[in-house]
Amino acid sequence: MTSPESPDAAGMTFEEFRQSFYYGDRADMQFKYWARMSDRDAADTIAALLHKLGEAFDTGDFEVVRQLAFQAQVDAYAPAETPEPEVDDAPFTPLQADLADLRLALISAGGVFEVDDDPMGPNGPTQEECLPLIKDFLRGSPTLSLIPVDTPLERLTARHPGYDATTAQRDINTVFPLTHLRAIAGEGRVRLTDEHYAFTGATSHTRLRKEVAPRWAEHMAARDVDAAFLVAT
Amino acid sequence: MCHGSVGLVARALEAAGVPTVSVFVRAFRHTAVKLRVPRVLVTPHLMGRTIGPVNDGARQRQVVEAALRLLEDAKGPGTLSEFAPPTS
Repeated sequence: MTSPESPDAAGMTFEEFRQSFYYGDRADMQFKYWARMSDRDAADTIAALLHKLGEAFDTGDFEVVRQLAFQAQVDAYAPAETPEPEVDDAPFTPLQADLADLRLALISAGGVFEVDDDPMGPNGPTQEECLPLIKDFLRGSPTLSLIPVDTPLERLTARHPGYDATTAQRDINTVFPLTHLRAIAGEGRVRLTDEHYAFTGATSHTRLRKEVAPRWAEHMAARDVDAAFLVAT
Repeated sequence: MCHGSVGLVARALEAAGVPTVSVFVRAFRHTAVKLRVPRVLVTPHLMGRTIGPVNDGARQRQVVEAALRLLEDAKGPGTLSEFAPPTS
């Protein structure tokens, strides 16, 4: 308890509380969207989540909690303005053959990498440690991690300053569905390239658009990638 | 940011002659529209679980299958499809 005489006696405003989830002292990528909401909407959302959580203690039905969080996220991220540039073209390449005859590459923006091939070096930050580095990520160029198709899944991990990658650490298929693509390839319905890819999507869009993405596209085309399956996070 | 990054990579690949399909969560559907991402499957999932919830292999597989169908079936740019779980 804070005593009335202490420097913290004034406590914090509700705005400060909800903002603290966005890279503040309560940084939580699951709920950082509260910073985007009005006080009223955030208060109503938090109250509703707690109410449904209380019900779920009795019913065991946590799906209603998830649905509520999902809808709140959708509403919070439906902005009037987005950082993406306006585009005036829409590139589109038709498939050149049946899917079964194409070599498909998986590309995830979920910050996936092999445990001994950390794109930030052997002592790269943990998921928690990378959150304060968000501005550095957003100014920098992304590194493309190369992941051989036969990599055991237990050798894959993820780190990302824009979403809670502990989810991907629990199950990499949430953002890098190699298990399922291998199964479909095993049925002969698609072919997979020898090499698959991941990067951290929280990055400089200017660098990505002008330099990095065209270079990656050139690399992949040269590696006989016929089609690509991309996953945003 | 992340969904925009995928959109930019997808656009670069298409421009280089590599067809793509991208999977987005619904919270960032507007990003796909704004960037005119070539083929996009939108999933009703929380951020960070684009393909499906942890250890829900059945849902994840359905999403992957739906994305591959979109890759095959899309006739032109800006094709956006909302993932709908199959009804049993």
